[in-house]
Amino acid sequence: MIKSGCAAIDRVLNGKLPDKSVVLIERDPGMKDSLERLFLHNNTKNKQGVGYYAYFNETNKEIEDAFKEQGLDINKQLNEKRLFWIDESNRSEGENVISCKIDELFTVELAMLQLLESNKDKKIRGVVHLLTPALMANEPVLIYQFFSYLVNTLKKYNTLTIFLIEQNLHDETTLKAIESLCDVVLETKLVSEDYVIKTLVRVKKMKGNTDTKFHELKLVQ
Amino acid sequence: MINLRKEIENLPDKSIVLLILNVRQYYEGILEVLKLLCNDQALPGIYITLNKPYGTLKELLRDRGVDTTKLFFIDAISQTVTQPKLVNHHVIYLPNPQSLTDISLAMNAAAESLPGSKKFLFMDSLSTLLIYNETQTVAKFAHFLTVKMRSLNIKGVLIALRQMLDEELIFEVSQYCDKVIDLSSEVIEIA
Repeated sequence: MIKSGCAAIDRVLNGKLPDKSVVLIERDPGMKDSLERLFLHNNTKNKQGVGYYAYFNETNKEIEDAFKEQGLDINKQLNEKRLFWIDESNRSEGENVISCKIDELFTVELAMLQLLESNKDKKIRGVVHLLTPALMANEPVLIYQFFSYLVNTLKKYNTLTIFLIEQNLHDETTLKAIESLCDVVLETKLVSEDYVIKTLVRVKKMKGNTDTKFHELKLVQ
Repeated sequence: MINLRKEIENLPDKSIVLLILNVRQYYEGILEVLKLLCNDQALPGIYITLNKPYGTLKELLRDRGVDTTKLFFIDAISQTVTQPKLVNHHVIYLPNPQSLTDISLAMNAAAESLPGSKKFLFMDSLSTLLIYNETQTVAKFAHFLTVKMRSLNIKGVLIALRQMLDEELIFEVSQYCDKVIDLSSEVIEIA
């Protein structure tokens, strides 16, 4: 068992995260990536940690600004080449950027393989926002095969990876198929209580877990 | 005169070779390499064919003395013409040579299904990919193949036809390979 490096996630999972886990976070479209940014920031603070964020239809500048707005300083990680951007829409620029194209999935695999191979002696932590755009651009069967291979590849390295998916945009069969390949599935949603927006999270799938109720997600650095 | 067999034989395990041939030597060249890998070294391998359909290719290889029993074929050309009739556990058919992601996924499945730790991949050919894809895409795919082969610890032979390649592509792909054997202006010495 390992810690996620993010107290909010560890609280939800009771510290029972299996080694080399692939975690799927199902969420509503448009939800912010605050939890994922905190996860990457915390896991790359020391020199043993390498992180990457794979995204679509954004630029690294926009993402770096979002880290800043959240009060997370990642300059050291970027300068020391321990935090990378895998841009699936080929719009980002800079030394920490690895470009690929969502409609040519082998380029995404190439980007991931390059990063994993060149950091194989380190703890690699990743956030991958790939599934929803990939499912929009390709047949679900192809994405299932691709994702299945990606999960197997990630497990050969010292990794902990969060995959994001917008659950309401996909049919149940596709979602179930994707879930079946993940070690842990978390479901998040936004609710409004007394004019305050709260993020709720529940464990939808994890070996040995019995608590499937929603709890409030509180982010503390 | 270059002895192709010796050139390939002397390479360290898990090397990746770019083999540049001219049109006249094409079959001589691939038969020579396959005889070495399949017959002499008895390695299981993956043959990605973009030129000849699986049925025709397998017959040709067998007739010319190549042991095809440990070869797994990824055929990306048959379905561009007709629905293949020959379906078995030694072949995956793909829609066309443009679907590079399909080729990569088929390669994953094939590499996992082949027994043993020593195996090879035979890509026939980069030049044909150029008919269906942009040069930069082919270069990126060649890079992908080499990274993939290294991560899977398998030996690789990438075939290219001199007449169909531009120098820039050869230069780019050469950087990813351990050795470039350019026989396009040579006579192949058959052992």
